[in-house]
Amino acid sequence: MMPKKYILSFILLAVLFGVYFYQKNIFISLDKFKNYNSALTELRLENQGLRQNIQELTNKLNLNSQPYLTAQVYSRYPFNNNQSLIIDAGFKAGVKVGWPVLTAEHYLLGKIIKVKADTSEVETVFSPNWRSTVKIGPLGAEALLVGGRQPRLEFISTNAKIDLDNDVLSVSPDLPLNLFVGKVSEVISQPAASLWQAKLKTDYDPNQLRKVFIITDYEGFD
Amino acid sequence: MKDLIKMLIWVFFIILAFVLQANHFLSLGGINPNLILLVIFGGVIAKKKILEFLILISATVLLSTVFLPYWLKEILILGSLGILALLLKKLLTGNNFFDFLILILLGTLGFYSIINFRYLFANPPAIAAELIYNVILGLITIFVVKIFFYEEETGIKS
Repeated sequence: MMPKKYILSFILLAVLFGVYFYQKNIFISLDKFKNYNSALTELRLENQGLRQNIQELTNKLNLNSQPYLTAQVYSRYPFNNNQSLIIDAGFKAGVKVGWPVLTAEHYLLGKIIKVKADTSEVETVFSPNWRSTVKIGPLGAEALLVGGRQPRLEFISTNAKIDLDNDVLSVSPDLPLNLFVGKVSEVISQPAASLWQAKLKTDYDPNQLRKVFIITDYEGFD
Repeated sequence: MKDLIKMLIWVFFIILAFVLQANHFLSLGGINPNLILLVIFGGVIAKKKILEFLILISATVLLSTVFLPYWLKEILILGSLGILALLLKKLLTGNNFFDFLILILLGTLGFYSIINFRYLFANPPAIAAELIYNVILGLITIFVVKIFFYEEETGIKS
């Protein structure tokens, strides 16, 4: 039979160990809590920054000089050969064929090609049928924008000076002048070729668009 | 009663295809598989009677007015391709597995040739990726249908 004092010592030791580990866990939990708190503070700050960005962009979209309509994207073309969109504004809202459609201020997305009572179809720069003239970079090298999943810039003169990330602006007569289309992502220059090609990148994903802006009262040359 | 249940199963698959197609739900790397084509050509293989197949096509067109109302032209083209495939089915191998895969390949190319011929040459890698994707989904469909019918006919779980 084990003496009582040994049993008591054993219990005491167990309690001490228990307290020690419990406290350790408490400290670990406190550390975790502090980390969560700092992560939360970071998220709050990030959230504030994002709110400011949204506000700035909203302010930018105050197109005072150009009247515009806001429309929600109803439906996206379900197959791969096209990237046209259906938006919730039609002739009841005064929409007309040919009106330019933007993703944000000065960011060209496409133009209206079909109008129904409450909806319209937008042909975007990602549609394979899209063709428009553009200028590239500060020196304004001319090119033809050919739509597609990855839009291309074609018929660029070999004398033209273009670099990666050069801005591409629309100079098509059926669209407002100098709308931003995207940036040069790759220049395809072959020594033997008489004309160059380039690839275009945009800041947005056309599959993620929820809202677009239609410039109204625009009469371009078709 | 059995025919009605079969028809309801087809309607379920058509609606599922429409919902997934419209929302780009199975889109991989920006490539959306042609699920409506899979359902229609699945019907070409599964339906033995022309009348049953025509009912299936009619149901697809009718349901498209609800689920894909803006792209009716595309659905009509797919339906027409399905009818054409049914008429020319005898010219195929006679093996359901190979016939389905051949129809998926020809159907995908045929669809784009009619709807936008330029696309066939504009982006060959995207066409190839979609063909592969459609065929893989076709294989999965065959696998699932085989298990289902094997169980239904024999009562033995595979």
